[in-house]
Amino acid sequence: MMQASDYRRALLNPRYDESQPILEPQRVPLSFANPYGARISEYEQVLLYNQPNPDWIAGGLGVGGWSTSFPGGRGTWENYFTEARTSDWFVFRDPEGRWQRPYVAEKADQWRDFQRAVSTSASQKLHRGLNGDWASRVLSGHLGALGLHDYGVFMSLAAPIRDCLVDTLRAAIVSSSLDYLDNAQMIQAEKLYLAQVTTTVSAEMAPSKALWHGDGAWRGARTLVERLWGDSYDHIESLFAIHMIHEPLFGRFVREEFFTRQAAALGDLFTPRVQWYAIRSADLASRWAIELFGRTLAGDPAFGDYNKRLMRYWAETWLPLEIAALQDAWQLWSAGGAVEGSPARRAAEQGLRDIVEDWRIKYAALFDLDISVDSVTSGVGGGGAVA
Amino acid sequence: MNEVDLANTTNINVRVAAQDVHRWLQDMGWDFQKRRSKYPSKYRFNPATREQFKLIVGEYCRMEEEKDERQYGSLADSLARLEAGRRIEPRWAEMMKFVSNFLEMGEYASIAGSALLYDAVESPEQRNGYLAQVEDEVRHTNQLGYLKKYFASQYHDPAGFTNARRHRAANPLFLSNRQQACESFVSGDPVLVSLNLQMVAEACFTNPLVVAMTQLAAANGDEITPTVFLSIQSDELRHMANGYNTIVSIVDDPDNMQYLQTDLENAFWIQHRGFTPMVGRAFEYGAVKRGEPWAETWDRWVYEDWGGIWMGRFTRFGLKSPRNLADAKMDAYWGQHDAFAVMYALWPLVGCRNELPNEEDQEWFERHYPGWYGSIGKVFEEWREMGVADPANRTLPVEWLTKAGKHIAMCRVCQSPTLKLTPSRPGMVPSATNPTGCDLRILEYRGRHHAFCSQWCERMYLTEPERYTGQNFFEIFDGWELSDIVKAAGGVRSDGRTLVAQPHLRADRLWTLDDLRACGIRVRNPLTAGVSFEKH
Repeated sequence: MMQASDYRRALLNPRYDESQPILEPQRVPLSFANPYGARISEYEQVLLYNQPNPDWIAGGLGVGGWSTSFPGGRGTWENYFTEARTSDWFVFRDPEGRWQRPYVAEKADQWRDFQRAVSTSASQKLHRGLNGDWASRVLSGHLGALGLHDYGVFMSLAAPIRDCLVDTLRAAIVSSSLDYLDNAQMIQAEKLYLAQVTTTVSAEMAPSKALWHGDGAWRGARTLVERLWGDSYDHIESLFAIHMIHEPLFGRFVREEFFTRQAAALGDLFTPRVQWYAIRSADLASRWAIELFGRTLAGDPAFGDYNKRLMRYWAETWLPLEIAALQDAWQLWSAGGAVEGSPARRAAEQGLRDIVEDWRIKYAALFDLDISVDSVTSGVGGGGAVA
Repeated sequence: MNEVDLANTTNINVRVAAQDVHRWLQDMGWDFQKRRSKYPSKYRFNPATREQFKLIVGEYCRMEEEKDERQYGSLADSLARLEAGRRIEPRWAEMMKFVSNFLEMGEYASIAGSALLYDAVESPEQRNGYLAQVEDEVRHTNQLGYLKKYFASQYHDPAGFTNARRHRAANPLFLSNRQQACESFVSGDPVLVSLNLQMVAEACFTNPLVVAMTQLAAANGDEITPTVFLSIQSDELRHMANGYNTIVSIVDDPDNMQYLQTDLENAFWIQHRGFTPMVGRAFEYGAVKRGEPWAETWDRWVYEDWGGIWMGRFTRFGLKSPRNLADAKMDAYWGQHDAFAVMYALWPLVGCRNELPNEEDQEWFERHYPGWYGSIGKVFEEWREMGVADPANRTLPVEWLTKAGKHIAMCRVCQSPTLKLTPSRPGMVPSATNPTGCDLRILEYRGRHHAFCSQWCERMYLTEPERYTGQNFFEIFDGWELSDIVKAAGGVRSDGRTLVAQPHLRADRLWTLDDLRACGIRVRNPLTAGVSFEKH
């Protein structure tokens, strides 16, 4: 019996050199879609309109209902999965156009960059001059607690990946969840490196876990993360809390001011390098978050005002939690040896004010939240205006 | 200054491997009072479960980047220069329109399904494995999208590759696809989701679909599909391991075992009803140059490899091969032929071009499936004699079906169309409650009529009727004239009038909306109107 492999491969079959009449001149996929830019991009071609929504989910091209529900009757995807409303979910795009291929390419590059950093830092003994207290208290302890924080945010993004109502947003959230898990893993990788070149830094997780669960510095952040992970069911609200409130404030404050600037001041050249990947990830996520909460939701022609009110309502829940997290995070500076009134502390206080001002302009303004820098920073450490 | 104590080491000893980082993964989770999965399960998961492929994000991305470079590099370079997309046997390329859209739906839904799983389980390592699958499925979704756009850029008929994500909404075969390869991957108990997606769809059916298909593709001039599909399948090993791990994480708890066998049977039946006829139809009616018959391929990959060897690994856990494997085996002999009959009968809606089997095809079918010609083969010949392919004749195969009393129904649970033109199972006779001569049964429940393809779907429905409430194709479009459906879904080419789908592979005599409208065929709900289509 002839098997498929018995046939000569037809690739160079001369019969196929004959030209065939072209039956359809339109070759570009998704001619029915509105492109984000001047024309449909490769990112849109490989992703957009995969989500098979019926038309009662805004922008869906299908009809009818879902064929299968959860036990008890919750539908496969439902409008009530979020309080947010839009005229068309398929308006959303990641402005960076990151589908899988460019995403893994950049991440792979970061991993190779980390390996190069390990090799050269070890070779050039760049850990010489690393402050001992910073190494024993922060790098052996608090750095790993940040890793646990990022792990918790990673877990919080599982349900938004599953529940969200549009393909482009789903892919963006996947990138973000991978980023947070990667942050946690890269912190552990850094500890493993430092544990080889110093006798002070330990790679053990137990001290970090003890701090994460018991130290006041992390109490507020852990409260917020555990609420996201365990108790938040509106996937758009979860994304709002993470990418519009928590990462632009706490995330920036702790990563940039403490684990980057303060680290460098104490002879730690490696941690800023590793935190750079997390800062870069957060920056890329902020671009699609602003696209989601700004253009897609706040800018929706029918539901824009409603969505802005909704975001202000969500902010009433999450902003107090965030301020508490910021307040507690000041204790990291004490752990890092920057006492109140010290130049490092004063620089961090100004840094926090700058971060809050950035947040006010870039994020809070999107949903018309009228808030001053002082209302966020007052009561946070020594957070009054810096002379 | 208080400086750190340096370790006594030379730089050549300092390294951080991915496996070194992975060792710490299991310590990264923690418990707290309000921690619970957002997708409740009747199963309890073992928090100490370990994963088999121990990857971290950075290393995973490095590995996938290398695969991407090879695959996309081949497509953009050598295959483009050889104009690979122009050299495909047209019948095969047309079937790839259906297959690529089918598979793209499954890969996309698996993103959400894998995320549901990483939310549901307790072990950080197990979550890590599922997260890798989440990104894999984004990759596969993008790969299928790229495959379609690649075909569209070279093949002489890009319609069906370009805008299928719109006009699939009116394709009754897509609704079956959506149920089996989307909704069952994202809705339900997490263990049932894992069984559907990983244990059955991936560990069982992707082998013939993605691996065996590549050989057939190459024999039919298609070098593009193997390039993409084999790259996809290289990730599937990790998904099969994920499915294995799901079972490992629950078998220690005796309470869990009271549900598992039934859930496995339900998952197997749903996936079989989607994959078996679709893949068989693609192999046997899409290929011009065929290999072994689908029934033999199915036997080898599904019955022996998966049902015997793979499932054999689970007997020590108390899990057996599904009892419905034998019924599925019988489906795999004739089912794909009836599936092609459905596809051809519904040709205006299916988003690709098809043709009836020619003499060479008929000889092959009769040789491998004795009785083919005397049953379904004769029907195809009658359709040919009716002139269903020529728009001038203004006639459709569904008119023959209606006259012959062969009404297509959709199963409420698996959403598969039921039609029996091939020989019935010995002892099976048509009756009022089973008019098709297959296993179809009809039930009235809470004021609605429901059709079920088999005892297995009927059992699923009667156990959890609230899960299966969606309307099927015939209920949604009851009363619609066919050309209105096609037009509303956008199933026309860029000229706005020529149908994307065609009942032949010719370059001329293409059907338009006007031709279809002139046939005067309306959809009806067979469970209320007694027919699936009527002429007006």
